Amino acid sequence: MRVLLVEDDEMIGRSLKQALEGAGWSADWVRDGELAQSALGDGDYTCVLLDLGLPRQDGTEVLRRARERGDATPVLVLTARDGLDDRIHSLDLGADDYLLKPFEFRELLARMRAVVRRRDGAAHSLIGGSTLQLDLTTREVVTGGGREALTAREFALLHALLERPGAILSREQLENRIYGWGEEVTSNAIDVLIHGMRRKLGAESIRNVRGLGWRVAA
Amino acid sequence: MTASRGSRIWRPRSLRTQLLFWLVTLHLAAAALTAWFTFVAYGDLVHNALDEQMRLVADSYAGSDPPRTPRPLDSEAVARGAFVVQLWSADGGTLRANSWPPLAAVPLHPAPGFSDAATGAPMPSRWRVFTAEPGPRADQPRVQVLQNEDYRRRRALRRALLEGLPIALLLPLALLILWLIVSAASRSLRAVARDVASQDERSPTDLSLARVPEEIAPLVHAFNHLLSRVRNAFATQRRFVQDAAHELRTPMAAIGLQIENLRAHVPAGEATERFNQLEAGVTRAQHLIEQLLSLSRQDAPGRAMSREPVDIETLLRESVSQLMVLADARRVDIGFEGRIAPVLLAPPAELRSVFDNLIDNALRYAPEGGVVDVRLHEAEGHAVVDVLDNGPGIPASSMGRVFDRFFRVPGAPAGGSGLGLAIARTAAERHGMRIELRNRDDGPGLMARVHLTAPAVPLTSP
Repeated sequence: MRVLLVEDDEMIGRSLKQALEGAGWSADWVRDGELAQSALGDGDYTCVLLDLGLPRQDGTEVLRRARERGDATPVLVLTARDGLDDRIHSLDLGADDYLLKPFEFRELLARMRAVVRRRDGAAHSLIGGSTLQLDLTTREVVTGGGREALTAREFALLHALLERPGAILSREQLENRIYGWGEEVTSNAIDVLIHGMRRKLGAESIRNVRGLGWRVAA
Repeated sequence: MTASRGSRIWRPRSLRTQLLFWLVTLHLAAAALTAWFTFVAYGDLVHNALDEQMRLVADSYAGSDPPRTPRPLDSEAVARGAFVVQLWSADGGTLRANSWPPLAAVPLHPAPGFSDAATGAPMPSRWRVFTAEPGPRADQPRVQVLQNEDYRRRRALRRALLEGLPIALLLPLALLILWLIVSAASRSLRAVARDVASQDERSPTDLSLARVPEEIAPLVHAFNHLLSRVRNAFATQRRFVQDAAHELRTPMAAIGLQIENLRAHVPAGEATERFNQLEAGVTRAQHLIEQLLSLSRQDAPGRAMSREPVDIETLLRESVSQLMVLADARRVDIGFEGRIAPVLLAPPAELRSVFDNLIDNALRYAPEGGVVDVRLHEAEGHAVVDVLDNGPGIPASSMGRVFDRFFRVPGAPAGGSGLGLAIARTAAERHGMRIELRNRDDGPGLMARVHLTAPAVPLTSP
């Protein structure tokens, strides 16, 4: 998997390239907008990490031209500017996601996986966080220990929780996602389901937040 | 309209009162002066003309031979200025004929010509008297003509009053016009004041000159000029904050990545322990920088943030979700209890900043493995959010300073920036909410209560 890293800051560029290579990506690093432009024209990249403030050609300009050419490579914007305008503008221009510096490297990897998955559609239909993932095609749960098949309700439960890893879903939200309209839901149905899932995946897999609901770690 | 303290001269502070005072004074003075001059000048004129008439009347009697008998008069005619004619014997001793008998009291004046006399009864009055020259013959009667002096004065006075009247009559009209003009001017001043008062201090806009009188325009111009300078200063500050954000975050991001790269190469044992300390230090610096940036974002006035209906329960759920990483790291059991579901009209990002900081604080101050509770309920007649921890609380001696920037309670756990409460309070107060801190009375720990008194969205039936 090749990633094009466009970053003019030496410190960040070098460390990020190292970190990406450590995580199994092959990274090409360019330091200005024009080089990014030509690299995008030549290479076939899985993903682009784009800084916005670049010498010679601004990051937004690189993005705009790439999209004009019909280049659909997933682009993740990395910036130290937190202006809402910048964020909206780059998303409008066709960025797939936006990450504010400084970021956790693990989060960057998760976002990269997410934008690539979104582009590929069903081919890589893995959703989830760092510890727990869900394969949407085979309807299996993927953990460090391997894959395991799920019942329809277990799948619906994990699907709801893993769509936005870390988000807390209430009992009502989970019931709406798991059970159809008019279906009789016993008061402890969710507890039974989650109890079962914890037995399968470990007690820490699905965490309860008092008064709010359940979540899986991001 | 109070007199200024210490000054004996009454000096009204209202322009309208001052104008009214001077206008009334001026009008009354003008009316009085006009009347006075008219009285004097017209009085002179009347006096001379009537004197001339008296002479003619006297001459006509003196020249007639045989002498004419004067026509009798009644008192009313005399009071209205009719000439009273007296015919005296040549030696002046006997009054032969008199057109109004009661006036016999005025004797024949020895010297011919004009003179003045006064009577007590029957009509207390003063009289103008003309005594004709004695005739050429010795037996010819002497003629004396008298006229009521008071009548003359009355005539002059009436004329004077008539002259002064229009000016006096104009006074109410002038006052009305003055009142209307001053009202219009103070209305436009009030409109300007309203414009100024309704300015968003974070993004001031120019005041309109459309309905401002010319005299007030310089003030509005000057104010607009000041506003444009304020706007420039704001823009500079905003740019500085953005640049500072960029310049601070870039090296922090690089350090974070280098630490990540180093992780795999750190040998187990003491090196790992020191590496963890380094990482904690970097995390703390990053936290501090983010807090500093959000503080300066609060100070740097940007565009007015748009208010929208915010479901507080959903907002708190998101806030807790985001802080679960911290809760997990410190093994703090965080719980939520929502008894009501208020919806507030406010910018969601600002509300998040209030609750994120309070919950973050609670999670940091709760002991490892402690308990933090977030409660949404009604107290003191309105909706409140309580954030409770079971940490050490705040000693009474520090209570007054905890909202100060960079203030940290002595002995507080590491990791905090000392800015969280300052940020939360600024954001809360900007939207009409209040944060109250107090130590719990049901055990150790702190309770932070946010009074949600911002404009609520009226409930609509589902």
